[in-house]
Amino acid sequence: MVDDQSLHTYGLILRKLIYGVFASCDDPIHPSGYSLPLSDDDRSCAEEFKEALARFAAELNEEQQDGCELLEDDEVLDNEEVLEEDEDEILEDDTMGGEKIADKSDVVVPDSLVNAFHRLVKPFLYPRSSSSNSRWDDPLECYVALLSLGPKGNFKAAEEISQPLASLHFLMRSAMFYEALSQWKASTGDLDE
Amino acid sequence: MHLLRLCWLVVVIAKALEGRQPSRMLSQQGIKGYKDANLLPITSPLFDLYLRKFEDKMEAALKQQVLPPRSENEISPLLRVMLWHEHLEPFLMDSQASSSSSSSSSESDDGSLPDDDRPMYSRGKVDSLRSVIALPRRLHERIPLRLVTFAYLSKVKREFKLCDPQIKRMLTEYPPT
Repeated sequence: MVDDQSLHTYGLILRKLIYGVFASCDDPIHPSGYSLPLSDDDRSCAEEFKEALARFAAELNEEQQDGCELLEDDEVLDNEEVLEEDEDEILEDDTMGGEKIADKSDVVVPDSLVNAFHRLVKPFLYPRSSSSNSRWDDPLECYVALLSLGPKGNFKAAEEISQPLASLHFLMRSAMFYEALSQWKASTGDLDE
Repeated sequence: MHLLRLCWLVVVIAKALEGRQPSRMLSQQGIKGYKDANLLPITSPLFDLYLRKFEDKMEAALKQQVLPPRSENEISPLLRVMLWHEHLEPFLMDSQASSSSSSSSSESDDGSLPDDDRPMYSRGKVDSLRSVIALPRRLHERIPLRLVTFAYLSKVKREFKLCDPQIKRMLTEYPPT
């Protein structure tokens, strides 16, 4: 069974996918000219989740103003331009990093938000039908292509990309399990019978 | 463009001598580093003069452009199957360089472009393309999604622990679609 640190590693892959989806929904189009090939359903789910996430962020900020130091990231102001590669270092660091405080706090994420998150990510992690039979119609294929692009313009070698692909495999299983769980709860059946 | 070619020629020679990754060595040492370490096989005073005169320009060109993978040696077996470079190439090409080269280039007999006119990746476009899936730069903008993702995966982990082993097996072998 995976530990919490591994969940963050797997979660990082998922978060990058979500930010890619957000960037592809944005109007005007991203400065690079690139966008993931999203369907109308993907876009509506992304909009729905984005709004729910914004409300959640606003609630967190209110808690912060009420005295909770959850989002007090003054300690990392010098590192405002932290790249994602540095994120794990922040987590490993014992100093008061903003995200680490958030991880340890008792923040309750609403079930509705988690469900909206699942509705957004599920189509990307499930098999996807395509009319053109082109692999580039699949947002996940495009996402992996973006993931493989290194900072120096090179493409990652097999040993570098194997871990993200393993994470995606885990995430696909997770999405299937969550979907099964949701369907079972919706049908009020008993999974053990 | 010519300067960049020369730069890469130097790198390839040094790589042949050292058997190390050229891009990594260049980023650490630069052209001058090669020369100081006596890694360059050419000791002509004229070559020294050439390096002194154009080193800065070569380094600057190297910072702005990247050679795309073209030859069999540059395209790994994985890349040959996945074709990531072909998919992303239109969004990586240096439009200024390609437009200037297209106006002056002439194709060789086999239809390939002359080596000096080979299109290049722009480092700016590489950064821009990578930013599509980049996390927000400010930490506090990342936290809400981080919490949601963690809650989602934690819920899966928690519920999966409670599941009967047979159900786990069933879900693994026959996932609902």
